[in-house]
Amino acid sequence: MIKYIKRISDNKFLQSVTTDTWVDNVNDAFQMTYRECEDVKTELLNTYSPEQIKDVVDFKKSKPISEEEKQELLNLLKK
Amino acid sequence: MATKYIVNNVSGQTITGDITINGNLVVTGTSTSNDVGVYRALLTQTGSITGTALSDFNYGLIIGETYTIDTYVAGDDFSNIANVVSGNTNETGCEFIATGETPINYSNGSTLISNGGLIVDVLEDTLGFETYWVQTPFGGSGYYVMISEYTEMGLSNIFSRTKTDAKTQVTLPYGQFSYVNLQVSPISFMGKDNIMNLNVFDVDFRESIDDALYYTPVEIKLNKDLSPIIVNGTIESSYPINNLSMGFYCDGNNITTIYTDVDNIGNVTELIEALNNTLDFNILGTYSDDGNGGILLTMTTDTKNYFCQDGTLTFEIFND
Repeated sequence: MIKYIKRISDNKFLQSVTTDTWVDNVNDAFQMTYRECEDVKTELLNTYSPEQIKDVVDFKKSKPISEEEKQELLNLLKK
Repeated sequence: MATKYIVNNVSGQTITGDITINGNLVVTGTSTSNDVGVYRALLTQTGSITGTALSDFNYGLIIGETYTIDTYVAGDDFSNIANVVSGNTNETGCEFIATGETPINYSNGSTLISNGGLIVDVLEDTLGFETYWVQTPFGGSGYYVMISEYTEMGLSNIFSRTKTDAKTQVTLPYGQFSYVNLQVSPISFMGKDNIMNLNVFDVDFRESIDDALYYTPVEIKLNKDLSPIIVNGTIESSYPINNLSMGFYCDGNNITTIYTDVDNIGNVTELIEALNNTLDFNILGTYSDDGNGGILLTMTTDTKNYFCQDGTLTFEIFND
């Protein structure tokens, strides 16, 4: 699973949080693990409101994650 | 062909061989197959709905849904379908779970607000392991994942793509929606084929959306392989064993480790008893003494494949 961040106003995807670059094509966007996405969202919320951005989940792709993140994700699944 | 007899009202009878029925077969109980596990359920997740008449709720409340009486109007009577969670029946502020679709009287305009969360009505389940659904656990929108107790253990191949036949279909949802596409399939989440995913995709707006399930049928058929496999284990700690733990290895690589707080195991007999009576362990199979200082675990081929599909599975028992 990887995640993207989408800007609602123009339907663009985040490519770089440091340069605040957004792109039209999702294939050019920053592919994040769950933890990376949470950290980036926290940073973006200094500039954008929660209503202005949304995260998108893509189960077809994946990135290597640490054991800690794996456990964090398993915990999210548990009722 | 030999004549076979079934004695009426005697349970536990087995016929070894084929049966030909030239008429109809009526089953009043449940019919199960050892070869195929079936899961059928209706999933509803509408988002919050506010209404003042049954017609606002598609002429029927959703069984299992939580409703709040935002404004009660005298004369309305929800008592026949309300499992009250808080407040009092037929009063403003009452929160209830609907146990039926049609209140005794809902013609006076009381305002009901539904919770709108995910409701799963399981019609049939012979998969052989515990499952549950979770809505968008990782953020985002428009997907629902089915988790099994083996997923929670970090295992794989629970919904093997080569053995899983999953279907769903769009139902006419409550409310106004664009054209919606539904997909249900095994997906690989930190491990191969370990969860089922139901994805709801808005074709017009080209994005996944919430709130578009309304008694949406999901059927999963899982071909099973229940033939027994014996797995060899070693005991790595000396007695007494405390905090009984077990590590599983596929071709020598650690797959997962199960930790418990089971203490004071003094010998191999007590160890076997503890393994066979502790849920975390006995979910996997039956344990026995191999007579040479090791432990044997007899498990189904399916369960073995959750740990190690094409390799050799072993385990180690230790004092954590």
